[in-house]
Amino acid sequence: MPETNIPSRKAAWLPRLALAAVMPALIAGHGAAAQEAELAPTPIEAMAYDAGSKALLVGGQNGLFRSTDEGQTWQTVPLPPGAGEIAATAVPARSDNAIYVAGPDMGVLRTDDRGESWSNLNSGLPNPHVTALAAHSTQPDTVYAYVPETGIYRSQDAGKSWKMMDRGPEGTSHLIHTNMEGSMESGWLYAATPDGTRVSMDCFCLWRDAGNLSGPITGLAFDPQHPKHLYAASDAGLFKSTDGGQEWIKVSSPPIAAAVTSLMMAPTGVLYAGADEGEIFKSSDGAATWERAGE
Amino acid sequence: MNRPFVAGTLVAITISTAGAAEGPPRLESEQIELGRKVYGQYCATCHGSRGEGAANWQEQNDQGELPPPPHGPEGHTWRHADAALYHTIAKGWRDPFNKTDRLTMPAFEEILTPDEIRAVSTYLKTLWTEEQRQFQWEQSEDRPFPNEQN
Repeated sequence: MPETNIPSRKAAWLPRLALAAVMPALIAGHGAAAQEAELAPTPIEAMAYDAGSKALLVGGQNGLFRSTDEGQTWQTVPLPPGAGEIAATAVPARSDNAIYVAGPDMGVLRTDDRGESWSNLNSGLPNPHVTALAAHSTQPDTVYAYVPETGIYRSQDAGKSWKMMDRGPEGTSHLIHTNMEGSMESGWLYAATPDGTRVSMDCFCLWRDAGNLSGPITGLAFDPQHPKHLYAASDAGLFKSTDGGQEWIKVSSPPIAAAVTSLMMAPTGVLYAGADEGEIFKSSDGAATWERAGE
Repeated sequence: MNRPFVAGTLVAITISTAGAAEGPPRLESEQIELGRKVYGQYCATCHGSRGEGAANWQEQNDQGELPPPPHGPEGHTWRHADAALYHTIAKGWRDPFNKTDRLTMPAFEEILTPDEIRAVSTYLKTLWTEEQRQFQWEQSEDRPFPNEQN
């Protein structure tokens, strides 16, 4: 895969590279244990659903949290000391307790034991500044990471090695992989960008606009049971597409003044929206009505 | 022959062997020529006589269809494994964003023989850079042409 014309950011990333260098590849037994917790009033930047244990995962500035009762109670998922802010989290297909997290200072980490130990997966990434992450919707070992100003990297061995695939849409803040039919390869990638949504087959053949949404997209999700169904959040509201992102209609937003900062639909058909002040809402009817998670 | 020279020779042979084993195989000239002929007859009308594709291949037209892409370094043909290339040529492909039901890329399995499909794929490989050849070969390791699967 050509990696030409990739600007060197070595100097700018020396402090972070130094941090990465002292972090062992496997960060085992760091001592912290899962504890009951309450979500802090900070933006929910990342959400994922672990279908194996029916657990909702949310992340942000204050770490990673897990709920098995739809948000009524939360437990911390311990992170390595100094891991930093979480920008994205993902659960691989057919997961067995595996969780990926990524962030602007941590790169990509993976746990297979709900946070008791973590593997540092940054070997092969140009720097640990990762702002978006997506697990392949059907292939358990395939994961994608977006490194700003460099591009999208793909791993097909659960993060042990990475290959630069494409520069990707500039400013990608959320990345999802769907198994919508019609791809020449194994699915589709959608990116939330500062100006709408973009889509490409997962061969990275061509990025094109997914519909005519404009402005920053702050959350992006698809329905695993109906992969043509997508949801996108922006300052203008919440939007739904039933044709893979060609056309979008405005739907009901969660009843909050604050912005939606992340979206995720579980295989159960429940759509979750994380908000700017640590609130989480859920909709069981395709964003027609909303209720606060945990109530 | 002294020991350093022996060691150096062994290292050189090892590197040479390893390099040969990790690169794509040389393309067979007979396959290239057959592929070039097939391409000229069936593919060039849409994809251009030299694989240059349509000028606006990245823009959907009024029907939501993507025009034929180039097959050279600027296109995406090199991103597909042999199995995917074969499947696309044989079965065709419909972009799900089409506003019509017709195939974006026609199917050729009723027109071309399996060997002709492999040959035209081989010809397309002559249009790629070495890096792209390497990438596509690696992609094809687990997804070869149908008759090469175990």
